[in-house]
Amino acid sequence: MMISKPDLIFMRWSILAICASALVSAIALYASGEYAKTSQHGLRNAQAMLNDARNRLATAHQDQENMAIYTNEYDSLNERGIFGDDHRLDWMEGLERIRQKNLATDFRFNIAPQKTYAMQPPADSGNFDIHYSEMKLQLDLLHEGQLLDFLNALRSQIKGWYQLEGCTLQRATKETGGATASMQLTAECVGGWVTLKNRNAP
Amino acid sequence: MKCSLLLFLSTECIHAQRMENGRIVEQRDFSDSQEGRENFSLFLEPFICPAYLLTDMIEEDFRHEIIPHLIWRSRKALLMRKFEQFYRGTPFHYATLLQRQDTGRRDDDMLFSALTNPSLITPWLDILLAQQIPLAGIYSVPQISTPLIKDHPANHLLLISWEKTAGLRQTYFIDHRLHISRLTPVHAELTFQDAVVKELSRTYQYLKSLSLLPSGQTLDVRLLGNRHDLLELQLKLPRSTDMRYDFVDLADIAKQLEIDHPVTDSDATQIFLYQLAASPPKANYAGPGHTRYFAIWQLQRALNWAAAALLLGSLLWAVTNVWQSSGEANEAASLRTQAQHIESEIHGITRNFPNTLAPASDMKAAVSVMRKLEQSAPIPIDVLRPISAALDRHPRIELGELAWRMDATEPVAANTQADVPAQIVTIKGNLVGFAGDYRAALHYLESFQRDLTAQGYQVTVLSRPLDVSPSGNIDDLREADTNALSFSVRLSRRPPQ
Repeated sequence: MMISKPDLIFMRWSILAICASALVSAIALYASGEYAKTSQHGLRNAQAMLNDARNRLATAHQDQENMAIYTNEYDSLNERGIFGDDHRLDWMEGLERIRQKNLATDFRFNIAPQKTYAMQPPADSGNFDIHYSEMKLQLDLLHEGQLLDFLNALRSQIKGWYQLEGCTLQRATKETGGATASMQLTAECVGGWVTLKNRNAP
Repeated sequence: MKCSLLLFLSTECIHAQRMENGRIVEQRDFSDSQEGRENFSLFLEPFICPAYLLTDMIEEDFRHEIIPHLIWRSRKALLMRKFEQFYRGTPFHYATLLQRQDTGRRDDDMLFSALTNPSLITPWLDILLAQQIPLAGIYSVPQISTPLIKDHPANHLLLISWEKTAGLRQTYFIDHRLHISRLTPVHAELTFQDAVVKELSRTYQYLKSLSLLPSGQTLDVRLLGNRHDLLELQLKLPRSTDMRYDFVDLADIAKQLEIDHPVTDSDATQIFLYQLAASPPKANYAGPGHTRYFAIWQLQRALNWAAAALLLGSLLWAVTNVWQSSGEANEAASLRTQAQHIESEIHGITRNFPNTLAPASDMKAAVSVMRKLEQSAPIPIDVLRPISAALDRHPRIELGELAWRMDATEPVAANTQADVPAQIVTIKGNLVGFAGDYRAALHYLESFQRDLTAQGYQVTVLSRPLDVSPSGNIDDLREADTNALSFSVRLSRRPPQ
C-alpha cells in the first residue's frame, strides 16, 4: 500500500506517539547512560582513591619502619660527608693528618676527576646517583702491617668513604728505589672516594 | 478492549452490530433506502473499530476452472484475465485454489467467485469509506462456511442454513472444498422446514444435472437449525438412499463460538458473523481501495504498539541502568569512606614521624648502597692475615709480590655469597734453599697450597718452579740460579653464606 499525505495526516497521532516515544526513550536512555557513566567513573575514582590510600598507608608504615632502622645510620653517613658534592679539601686535609702520623714511610696520592660509579654487581641506588673520584695511592712501607693501618686510617680518620678496589705489594728492590732500613715494601692501591648525590637535590 | 463492527448484508437490508470483547453491545438493522443509509451513516459515526462485512446474496457466482500452474506476475495476469472474462462488471471477485492436479501438467483447480451485482454493496461501502471505517474485508456466507463442515467425513456434502434476512443458503462441498452455493429467498408464508424440504430435492437434481454428484453417490446433507425446527425437519424430510441427513443444533455451534445470547430460531446469521469475527479468511472480495482504512488502522496500531514497546523497553532499560548504577554509586561512597579512614590513619602515622634530613625511602636507599659498598670493598686485613700466617709457616717461601683486588665476575663457589665480589689475591714468590732438589721444592709448594686451601681459599697455581706435567717443557737447569725457584699462585675467596 502506498502511503499518501492524507494517510499521514490520518495517522498523525500514531506518528506523533512513536516520535514522542522515541524522543522520551532516547532521553531516558541517554540520561540513564550518563548516570551509569558517572557512577562508573565515580566508582573507578573511589577505587583508585582507596588503592592510593592503601599504598600510601603501606608506604607510611614502611617509612615508619625505615626511619626506625635507618635514621641513625643515615645521620652517621651524613656526618661523614657522604652526601652531596665531593669534599676534596676534607680528604686532602685528612691525608695530610695521616702523613703526619707516619703510618707509612711515605705515600703519594692522585685524585682524578669525579665520574659516575657503576656498582658491581649492580644494585638499586634509589634516588641517588653514585659519584666516584678515583684516588691512586703509592706507598713506601716498612712492613705490610703499615698498609693495613694506613687503609684503616683512611676509612676512619677522613670524612668520606674511600672505596678500596685493590692493592699490589712488592718487595722493594733496587729497581723500585732500593730497600732501605725504613723501606722494605712498596704498595700501589687503587680506589676512589664515593659520594651520593640525591637526584632531587639542587 | 477488543472491539469490532460486524455487518451482515443481504439484498434488502444491512444488519450492524458493535462487538466488544466478544459480546454484542449494540445492533441495528438498516433497510436499503435513503433513510436506512442515513441512519447507518449516523450509526457508524462514533466507531473506529475494524469492520467485517458479510454478504449473503443471490447475486454471487461460483465458477470452477482449471488453469495452468503459474507463479508471480504471470499468475496474477492470468487471474486478471479470467476475472475480466468472467466478471467484467464487478470489482468484488476473487479466486481460490482448490487443489493442484496430480497428473498431467499439474494444473491448478481454481474456484472463481464474485458478487455480481455491485450496486447492492457499493452504497453501503461508500458510507463505510466516507466514515473512514477500517473495513477488514468483504466476505460471503459460502466463503466462511467451510469451518462448519470440517468435522464431517463426507466427500460430497451439502450445507443448509437459513439467514432470516437473506433466505435459505445451500452450499455444496466436495472434499471439504467449496464448489457451489445458492441462496433461495424464503417468503413469509413459507416456514424454514417447508423451504428446506422444497429446495433440497431441487438442489439434489441440480447437482446431478451438473454432474457434481457422481451417480450412485449418496449426498450428505448437514442442516443447521434450532432443536425444535430440526425435530420437525426429521419428520418432514423424505427418507431415501440418495441423501443422508446430519442435523446440527445451532445452540451447540453457538456454545463452541462462545455466543452468549440464546438461539431462539433457526436463523444462522449470528453463527456466521461470530465465525467470521473469530477467524476471518484472508481471501475476500474487498480490493485494496476498500480496505485502505483498515491498512491504515493496522499501521496505526502497529505504530502505537511499537511506541508503547519502545517506551516501555527503554524505560525498563533506563530503570535497570539506574538501579545498577545506584549500586555502583553506593559502593563508591563506601570506598570513599574507607579511603578517608585510611587517610586519617596515614595522617596519624606521619604526624608522629621525627624530623629527619631525608625521606625514609631515601635514607633506606642510601644506607643500603653504602652497606653494599662496604661489603664489596673491605679493608683486606681479613683476607691477608691468613696468607701472612701461612707464609710464616713456610719460611722457605720468599714473597716477591702480593696483589689484592675485588672481582665481581669471579665464578661463585658453593656455599658462598654470590652478591659480594670475590677477593682475588695473586702471590708471586720464590722457593729458596732447595739446592736443586726439585722434588722437595714442589712438595713444599704443594704444602703451601694445601695450607691456603685449608684457610678457605680457592687456590690456583699459575706457575711452578718446574713443570713436570706431560705437556710441559723442561730445560737443563744446571746453569740457572737453583737457589731461587719462582712460582705464582692465585687465591680467591667470597664470604661464606
